[in-house]
Amino acid sequence: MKKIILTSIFSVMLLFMTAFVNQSDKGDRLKGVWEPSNGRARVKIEKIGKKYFGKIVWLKEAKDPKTGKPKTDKNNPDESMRDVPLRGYRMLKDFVYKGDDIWEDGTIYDPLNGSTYNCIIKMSDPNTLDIRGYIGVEALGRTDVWKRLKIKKKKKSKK
Amino acid sequence: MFKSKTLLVLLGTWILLCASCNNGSKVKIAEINNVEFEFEGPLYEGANTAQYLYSVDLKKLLEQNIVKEGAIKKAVLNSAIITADSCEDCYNFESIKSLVLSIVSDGEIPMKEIALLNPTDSKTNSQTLKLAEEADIADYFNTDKIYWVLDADISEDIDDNLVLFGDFKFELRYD
Repeated sequence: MKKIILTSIFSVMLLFMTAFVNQSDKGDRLKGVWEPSNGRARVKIEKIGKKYFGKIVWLKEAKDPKTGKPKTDKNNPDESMRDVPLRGYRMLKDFVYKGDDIWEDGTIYDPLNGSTYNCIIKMSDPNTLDIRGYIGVEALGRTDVWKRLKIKKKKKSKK
Repeated sequence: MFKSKTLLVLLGTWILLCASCNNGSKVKIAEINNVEFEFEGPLYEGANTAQYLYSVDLKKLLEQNIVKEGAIKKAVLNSAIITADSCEDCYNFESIKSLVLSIVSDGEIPMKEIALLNPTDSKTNSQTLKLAEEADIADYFNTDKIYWVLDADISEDIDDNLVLFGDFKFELRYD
Protein backbone atom coordinates (compact mmCIF):
# COMPACT_ATOMS: atom_id res chain seq x y z
CA MET A 1 0.00 0.00 0.00
CA LYS A 2 2.78 2.37 1.03
CA LYS A 3 4.57 1.58 -2.23
CA ILE A 4 1.46 2.42 -4.28
CA ILE A 5 1.02 5.79 -2.49
CA LEU A 6 4.67 6.69 -2.98
CA THR A 7 4.54 5.72 -6.66
CA SER A 8 1.38 7.81 -7.16
CA ILE A 9 2.94 10.87 -5.48
CA PHE A 10 6.09 10.48 -7.57
CA SER A 11 4.05 10.13 -10.79
CA VAL A 12 2.03 13.28 -10.03
CA MET A 13 5.20 15.23 -9.25
CA LEU A 14 6.81 14.01 -12.47
CA LEU A 15 3.70 15.04 -14.44
CA PHE A 16 3.81 18.57 -12.98
CA MET A 17 7.53 18.88 -13.63
CA THR A 18 7.13 17.72 -17.23
CA ALA A 19 4.28 20.19 -17.78
CA PHE A 20 6.41 23.04 -16.34
CA VAL A 21 9.42 22.19 -18.48
CA ASN A 22 7.25 21.88 -21.61
CA GLN A 23 5.67 25.28 -20.94
CA SER A 24 9.10 26.86 -20.56
CA ASP A 25 10.35 25.16 -23.74
CA LYS A 26 7.34 26.35 -25.70
CA GLY A 27 8.05 29.91 -24.61
CA ASP A 28 11.60 29.61 -25.89
CA ARG A 29 10.30 29.24 -29.45
CA LEU A 30 10.18 33.04 -29.46
CA LYS A 31 13.96 33.15 -29.37
CA GLY A 32 15.66 33.95 -32.67
CA VAL A 33 16.13 36.79 -35.11
CA TRP A 34 13.02 38.49 -36.51
CA GLU A 35 12.37 41.13 -39.16
CA PRO A 36 9.52 43.68 -38.90
CA SER A 37 7.34 44.25 -41.99
CA ASN A 38 9.16 47.46 -43.00
CA GLY A 39 12.45 45.52 -43.31
CA ARG A 40 14.39 48.40 -41.76
CA ALA A 41 15.68 46.44 -38.74
CA ARG A 42 16.31 42.96 -37.39
CA VAL A 43 15.55 42.08 -33.80
CA LYS A 44 17.09 39.24 -31.83
CA ILE A 45 14.86 37.86 -29.08
CA GLU A 46 16.66 36.37 -26.07
CA LYS A 47 15.69 35.16 -22.63
CA ILE A 48 16.95 36.85 -19.47
CA GLY A 49 15.79 35.09 -16.32
CA LYS A 50 12.19 34.05 -17.01
CA LYS A 51 11.38 36.86 -19.43
CA TYR A 52 11.99 37.56 -23.11
CA PHE A 53 13.68 40.64 -24.58
CA GLY A 54 14.37 41.72 -28.15
CA LYS A 55 17.31 43.87 -29.21
CA ILE A 56 18.07 45.48 -32.55
CA VAL A 57 20.98 43.62 -34.14
CA TRP A 58 20.85 45.12 -37.63
CA LEU A 59 19.66 48.39 -39.10
CA LYS A 60 19.17 49.15 -42.79
CA GLU A 61 20.40 52.68 -42.13
CA ALA A 62 22.88 52.13 -39.36
CA LYS A 63 24.43 55.59 -39.59
CA ASP A 64 22.89 58.99 -38.97
CA PRO A 65 22.97 60.72 -42.41
CA LYS A 66 23.62 64.09 -40.71
CA THR A 67 26.64 63.05 -38.67
CA GLY A 68 27.84 59.91 -40.44
CA LYS A 69 28.12 58.26 -37.03
CA PRO A 70 26.20 55.16 -35.84
CA LYS A 71 22.65 56.06 -34.81
CA THR A 72 21.90 56.45 -31.11
CA ASP A 73 18.65 56.57 -29.17
CA LYS A 74 18.34 60.36 -29.61
CA ASN A 75 14.61 60.41 -28.75
CA ASN A 76 14.97 58.69 -25.35
CA PRO A 77 12.83 60.57 -22.79
CA ASP A 78 15.76 60.22 -20.35
CA GLU A 79 18.29 62.68 -21.82
CA SER A 80 21.18 60.98 -20.04
CA MET A 81 20.58 57.80 -22.07
CA ARG A 82 20.53 59.34 -25.56
CA ASP A 83 24.02 58.05 -26.36
CA VAL A 84 22.89 54.41 -26.21
CA PRO A 85 23.60 52.92 -29.68
CA LEU A 86 20.45 51.96 -31.58
CA ARG A 87 22.15 48.82 -32.83
CA GLY A 88 21.92 46.69 -29.73
CA TYR A 89 18.99 48.65 -28.28
CA ARG A 90 16.43 46.52 -26.49
CA MET A 91 13.11 47.54 -28.06
CA LEU A 92 11.08 44.56 -26.76
CA LYS A 93 11.12 44.15 -23.00
CA ASP A 94 9.75 41.96 -20.21
CA PHE A 95 7.60 39.46 -22.15
CA VAL A 96 6.24 36.48 -20.24
CA TYR A 97 4.98 33.33 -21.96
CA LYS A 98 1.31 32.78 -21.10
CA GLY A 99 0.66 29.61 -23.14
CA ASP A 100 -1.26 29.21 -26.42
CA ASP A 101 1.60 30.89 -28.36
CA ILE A 102 1.04 34.21 -26.60
CA TRP A 103 3.61 36.37 -24.77
CA GLU A 104 2.28 39.25 -22.68
CA ASP A 105 3.12 41.88 -20.03
CA GLY A 106 5.83 43.36 -22.24
CA THR A 107 6.47 46.67 -23.94
CA ILE A 108 7.68 47.79 -27.37
CA TYR A 109 9.75 50.93 -27.87
CA ASP A 110 9.60 53.02 -31.02
CA PRO A 111 13.00 54.72 -31.43
CA LEU A 112 11.54 57.04 -34.10
CA ASN A 113 9.53 58.97 -31.48
CA GLY A 114 10.86 57.71 -28.13
CA SER A 115 7.48 56.24 -27.15
CA THR A 116 6.90 52.98 -25.31
CA TYR A 117 3.72 50.99 -25.86
CA ASN A 118 2.16 47.99 -24.15
CA CYS A 119 2.59 44.97 -26.38
CA ILE A 120 1.32 41.45 -26.98
CA ILE A 121 3.10 38.93 -29.16
CA LYS A 122 1.22 36.09 -30.86
CA MET A 123 2.99 33.41 -32.85
CA SER A 124 0.68 32.62 -35.75
CA ASP A 125 3.11 30.02 -37.10
CA PRO A 126 6.68 29.09 -36.10
CA ASN A 127 8.08 31.74 -38.46
CA THR A 128 5.52 34.53 -38.04
CA LEU A 129 4.77 36.87 -35.15
CA ASP A 130 1.86 39.29 -34.76
CA ILE A 131 3.26 42.13 -32.69
CA ARG A 132 0.46 44.31 -31.33
CA GLY A 133 1.40 47.59 -29.70
CA TYR A 134 -1.20 49.66 -27.86
CA ILE A 135 -1.80 52.33 -25.26
CA GLY A 136 -4.42 51.45 -22.67
CA VAL A 137 -6.87 49.31 -24.65
CA GLU A 138 -5.57 46.46 -26.80
CA ALA A 139 -8.42 46.86 -29.30
CA LEU A 140 -7.14 50.34 -30.19
CA GLY A 141 -3.63 49.16 -31.04
CA ARG A 142 -1.77 48.39 -34.24
CA THR A 143 -0.39 45.03 -35.34
CA ASP A 144 2.79 44.46 -37.30
CA VAL A 145 3.80 41.11 -38.78
CA TRP A 146 7.36 39.98 -38.15
CA LYS A 147 9.09 37.13 -39.98
CA ARG A 148 11.75 34.84 -38.60
CA LEU A 149 15.15 35.06 -40.24
CA LYS A 150 17.03 31.90 -40.94
CA ILE A 151 20.58 32.53 -39.80
CA LYS A 152 23.38 30.77 -41.61
CA LYS A 153 26.04 29.66 -39.19
CA LYS A 154 29.51 30.91 -40.02
CA LYS A 155 31.93 28.19 -41.06
CA LYS A 156 35.17 28.08 -39.17
CA SER A 157 38.11 28.88 -41.43
CA LYS A 158 40.59 26.05 -41.97
CA LYS A 159 44.03 26.67 -40.56
CA MET B 1 9.22 92.78 12.18
CA PHE B 2 7.28 91.55 9.16
CA LYS B 3 10.47 90.32 7.56
CA SER B 4 11.57 88.30 10.57
CA LYS B 5 8.10 86.65 10.83
CA THR B 6 8.23 85.70 7.15
CA LEU B 7 11.72 84.31 7.67
CA LEU B 8 10.54 82.27 10.64
CA VAL B 9 7.60 80.85 8.65
CA LEU B 10 9.93 79.97 5.76
CA LEU B 11 12.42 78.33 8.12
CA GLY B 12 9.63 76.31 9.79
CA THR B 13 8.28 75.16 6.42
CA TRP B 14 11.78 74.15 5.32
CA ILE B 15 12.35 72.13 8.53
CA LEU B 16 8.94 70.44 8.10
CA LEU B 17 9.72 69.61 4.48
CA CYS B 18 13.11 68.16 5.41
CA ALA B 19 11.56 66.08 8.17
CA SER B 20 8.90 64.68 5.83
CA CYS B 21 11.51 63.94 3.14
CA ASN B 22 13.79 61.98 5.45
CA ASN B 23 10.89 60.18 7.09
CA GLY B 24 13.28 58.58 9.55
CA SER B 25 14.98 56.49 6.86
CA LYS B 26 18.68 55.66 6.97
CA VAL B 27 21.24 55.79 4.21
CA LYS B 28 23.89 53.21 3.36
CA ILE B 29 26.49 53.23 0.63
CA ALA B 30 26.64 49.60 -0.50
CA GLU B 31 28.97 47.90 -2.96
CA ILE B 32 28.60 44.88 -5.19
CA ASN B 33 31.98 43.94 -6.58
CA ASN B 34 33.43 41.40 -8.99
CA VAL B 35 30.21 40.82 -10.88
CA GLU B 36 31.35 38.46 -13.63
CA PHE B 37 29.93 38.96 -17.09
CA GLU B 38 30.79 36.04 -19.34
CA PHE B 39 29.99 36.55 -23.00
CA GLU B 40 29.87 33.05 -24.43
CA GLY B 41 31.69 32.78 -27.72
CA PRO B 42 31.89 32.66 -30.59
CA LEU B 43 30.90 36.32 -30.57
CA TYR B 44 29.92 38.17 -33.72
CA GLU B 45 30.43 41.82 -34.51
CA GLY B 46 27.64 43.90 -32.98
CA ALA B 47 25.77 43.92 -29.69
CA ASN B 48 26.43 40.91 -27.46
CA THR B 49 24.83 40.26 -24.09
CA ALA B 50 26.00 38.74 -20.82
CA GLN B 51 23.94 38.34 -17.67
CA TYR B 52 24.78 37.76 -14.04
CA LEU B 53 22.30 36.46 -11.50
CA TYR B 54 22.68 38.19 -8.16
CA SER B 55 20.88 36.97 -5.03
CA VAL B 56 19.80 39.97 -2.99
CA ASP B 57 21.03 39.74 0.60
CA LEU B 58 19.88 42.93 2.29
CA LYS B 59 21.29 41.91 5.68
CA LYS B 60 24.74 41.73 4.14
CA LEU B 61 24.33 44.84 2.01
CA LEU B 62 22.99 46.98 4.85
CA GLU B 63 25.12 45.24 7.50
CA GLN B 64 22.04 44.74 9.68
CA ASN B 65 20.86 41.64 11.54
CA ILE B 66 17.18 42.31 10.94
CA VAL B 67 15.80 43.84 7.76
CA LYS B 68 12.10 44.48 7.19
CA GLU B 69 10.43 43.25 4.01
CA GLY B 70 10.35 46.05 1.44
CA ALA B 71 12.83 48.02 3.53
CA ILE B 72 14.55 49.74 0.61
CA LYS B 73 12.81 53.03 -0.12
CA LYS B 74 15.25 54.42 -2.65
CA ALA B 75 18.25 52.96 -4.45
CA VAL B 76 20.47 54.95 -6.76
CA LEU B 77 23.55 53.77 -8.60
CA ASN B 78 26.50 55.96 -7.60
CA SER B 79 29.16 54.37 -9.76
CA ALA B 80 29.58 51.53 -12.24
CA ILE B 81 33.02 50.44 -13.36
CA ILE B 82 33.63 47.66 -15.89
CA THR B 83 37.09 46.12 -16.15
CA ALA B 84 38.71 43.53 -18.37
CA ASP B 85 41.40 41.07 -17.35
CA SER B 86 44.84 42.53 -17.84
CA CYS B 87 46.53 39.27 -18.92
CA GLU B 88 48.45 39.22 -22.18
CA ASP B 89 46.04 36.97 -24.11
CA CYS B 90 42.87 38.54 -22.70
CA TYR B 91 40.58 40.74 -24.76
CA ASN B 92 40.46 44.39 -23.77
CA PHE B 93 38.40 47.38 -24.74
CA GLU B 94 40.07 47.84 -28.13
CA SER B 95 37.42 45.55 -29.61
CA ILE B 96 34.49 46.90 -27.54
CA LYS B 97 32.89 50.07 -28.86
CA SER B 98 30.22 50.68 -26.22
CA LEU B 99 28.75 49.27 -23.01
CA VAL B 100 25.21 49.42 -21.62
CA LEU B 101 24.32 48.18 -18.16
CA SER B 102 20.71 47.18 -17.41
CA ILE B 103 18.85 45.54 -14.57
CA VAL B 104 16.11 42.88 -14.82
CA SER B 105 13.91 41.02 -12.37
CA ASP B 106 11.73 37.93 -12.82
CA GLY B 107 8.75 39.77 -11.34
CA GLU B 108 6.62 42.59 -12.68
CA ILE B 109 9.30 45.28 -12.44
CA PRO B 110 10.29 46.33 -15.96
CA MET B 111 13.86 46.21 -17.25
CA LYS B 112 15.78 49.45 -16.79
CA GLU B 113 18.95 50.77 -18.42
CA ILE B 114 21.02 52.30 -15.64
CA ALA B 115 24.40 53.20 -17.12
CA LEU B 116 26.26 53.41 -20.41
CA LEU B 117 29.51 54.32 -22.07
CA ASN B 118 29.67 55.20 -25.76
CA PRO B 119 32.37 55.20 -26.93
CA THR B 120 34.65 53.29 -24.59
CA ASP B 121 38.24 54.38 -23.98
CA SER B 122 40.40 51.76 -25.66
CA LYS B 123 43.54 52.96 -23.88
CA THR B 124 42.43 51.87 -20.42
CA ASN B 125 41.42 48.54 -18.93
CA SER B 126 38.81 50.07 -16.64
CA GLN B 127 35.73 51.88 -17.94
CA THR B 128 33.65 54.19 -15.78
CA LEU B 129 30.09 54.21 -17.10
CA LYS B 130 27.89 57.29 -17.34
CA LEU B 131 24.90 56.90 -15.01
CA ALA B 132 21.26 57.28 -16.03
CA GLU B 133 19.62 60.25 -14.34
CA GLU B 134 16.19 58.69 -13.93
CA ALA B 135 17.08 55.40 -12.30
CA ASP B 136 15.60 54.68 -8.88
CA ILE B 137 16.06 50.91 -8.62
CA ALA B 138 14.66 50.41 -5.10
CA ASP B 139 12.05 47.89 -6.30
CA TYR B 140 14.77 45.52 -7.50
CA PHE B 141 16.45 45.44 -4.10
CA ASN B 142 13.15 44.44 -2.52
CA THR B 143 13.13 41.21 -4.58
CA ASP B 144 15.07 37.97 -4.11
CA LYS B 145 17.21 38.18 -7.21
CA ILE B 146 18.44 40.63 -9.75
CA TYR B 147 19.89 40.00 -13.20
CA TRP B 148 22.67 42.41 -14.09
CA VAL B 149 22.78 42.62 -17.89
CA LEU B 150 25.74 44.00 -19.80
CA ASP B 151 25.56 44.71 -23.52
CA ALA B 152 28.86 45.12 -25.29
CA ASP B 153 29.05 46.36 -28.87
CA ILE B 154 31.94 44.40 -30.35
CA SER B 155 33.80 45.67 -33.41
CA GLU B 156 35.10 42.30 -34.65
CA ASP B 157 34.21 38.62 -34.48
CA ILE B 158 35.77 36.88 -31.49
CA ASP B 159 36.17 33.09 -31.58
CA ASP B 160 36.35 32.87 -27.83
CA ASN B 161 34.61 33.75 -24.58
CA LEU B 162 34.94 37.29 -23.30
CA VAL B 163 34.89 38.03 -19.59
CA LEU B 164 34.35 41.45 -18.05
CA PHE B 165 33.93 42.39 -14.39
CA GLY B 166 31.63 44.95 -12.79
CA ASP B 167 32.05 46.95 -9.59
CA PHE B 168 28.93 48.83 -8.56
CA LYS B 169 28.31 51.30 -5.77
CA PHE B 170 24.82 52.30 -4.60
CA GLU B 171 23.19 54.71 -2.23
CA LEU B 172 20.44 52.77 -0.46
CA ARG B 173 17.80 54.63 1.59
CA TYR B 174 16.02 52.21 3.90
CA ASP B 175 13.75 51.90 6.94
